[in-house]
Amino acid sequence: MVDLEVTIVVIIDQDRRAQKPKFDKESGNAIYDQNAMRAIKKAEPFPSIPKELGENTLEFEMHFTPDLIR
Amino acid sequence: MKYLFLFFLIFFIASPFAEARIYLDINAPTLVQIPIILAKWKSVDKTPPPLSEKVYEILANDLTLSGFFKVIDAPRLPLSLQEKVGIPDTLSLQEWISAGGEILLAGETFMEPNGLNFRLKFHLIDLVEQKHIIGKQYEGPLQTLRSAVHRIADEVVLQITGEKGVHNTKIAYAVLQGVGKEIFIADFDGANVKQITQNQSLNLSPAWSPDGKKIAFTSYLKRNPDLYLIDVAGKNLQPFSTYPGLNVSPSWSPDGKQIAMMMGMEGKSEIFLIDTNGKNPKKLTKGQGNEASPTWSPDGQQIAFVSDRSGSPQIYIMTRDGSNVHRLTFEGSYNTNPSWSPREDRIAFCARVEGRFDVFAIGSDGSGLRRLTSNPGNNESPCWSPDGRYIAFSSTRKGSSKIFIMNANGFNQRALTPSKGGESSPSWSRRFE
Repeated sequence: MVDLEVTIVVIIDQDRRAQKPKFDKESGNAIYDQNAMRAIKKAEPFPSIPKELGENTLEFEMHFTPDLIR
Repeated sequence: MKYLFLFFLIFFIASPFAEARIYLDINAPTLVQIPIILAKWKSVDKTPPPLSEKVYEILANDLTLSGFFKVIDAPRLPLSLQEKVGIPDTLSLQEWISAGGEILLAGETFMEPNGLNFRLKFHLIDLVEQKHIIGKQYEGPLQTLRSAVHRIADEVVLQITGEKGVHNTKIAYAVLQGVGKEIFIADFDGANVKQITQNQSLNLSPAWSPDGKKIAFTSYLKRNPDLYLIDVAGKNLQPFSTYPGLNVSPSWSPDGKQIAMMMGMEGKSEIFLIDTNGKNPKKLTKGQGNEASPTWSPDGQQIAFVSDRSGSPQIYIMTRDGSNVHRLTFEGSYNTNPSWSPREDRIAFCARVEGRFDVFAIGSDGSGLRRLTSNPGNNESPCWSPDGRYIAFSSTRKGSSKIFIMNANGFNQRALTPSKGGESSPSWSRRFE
């Protein structure tokens, strides 16, 4: 089986936007990579960062694994 | 991926760590089809509107057939956008964004005043990132219109998936005609069906040459099942291998220099290799059973084939000189019709399950066995597209046997043409553009 794994690192800010999402690991399959990237953009706006955390931004590492495409 | 929001919500409630990087696993059960909006095409100047409609229709069909997209064409758009034609200003994308697509494809057609040549201009826009992806223009004489539209579809597939589509490929297959069978070809989208042989004999198992110019096939034209070559235009029929007994099941080496085939000149069927000038037949198998259906690995170093040496038909692999034979399939009692993906170490084949046949695929190392069809009827003779992303096969799910196409993961199964049936043994050409 083809292993498609994409890791995207993104910072969520107080405007609930995804700042500078970038690939940490690309799958080598552009359709899947771009799909993952678009999924993040489409998920905006994110929930607010809870005040109790006392943070202005949060850094996420998102690890996508799909069913195979080929 | 629509559950992304939910993941975040759960995370924010549960997270004890705020400073460190936060790790999230997101599993999509299946690949999501990308919603692409097709704005209606504009006819520039005196270009007849039916030309734009034709382009639009071919394009919408191509992108649907590719399996990568959820096509949002005019009837599926909000009323306010249904009649908007041509390429929108990138500054006024908002109305398209709200229509639910992630990609917008828009274009215009222009017919030269002489009425003989066309020009197609298109733009692809990413509505999520709100950026222009690509804009191109194709032109040519009117009879090449379909092919030019297929090129646009190929380009869209390239931009979105990283590899060009296969809209400018063809599929050859055998069709029942009276008491015989003739070889036909059709485009990937089922258009341009053409009959290649017309000899009222039994013509079987076509195989495209790697350069796309010739088709090898077996014919009973002279009573014996001999192998012939013919041009794609149906001209220059030439006998290739006419040894007594079987000369069947041809498979071209990827470099086009040799044909592996099944021959029965020694009574029992064996795999032979013949130079494409028809000379130097060389026996590869050593007579431990009946051997059939050779298919080459993409690097031309190995050949998979069927052998009944273990008592039932199973798939085996050998090195191209006949050495190093090893068995690939162990599940099931009847595995035939192997076809090696031109792009990957996967082999599609046909297996008998509960008295009927289905298409499966397996890694050439024996791992990753996967069932691809499970419809009523028999699903047989798989063959791969040149990009390894589709499989054509024959199916009796709707009665008479017809050629079907599916994505390589088994999704998106559809009949090649609206014909009545009687079709078998597909072979996929290279790309023609």
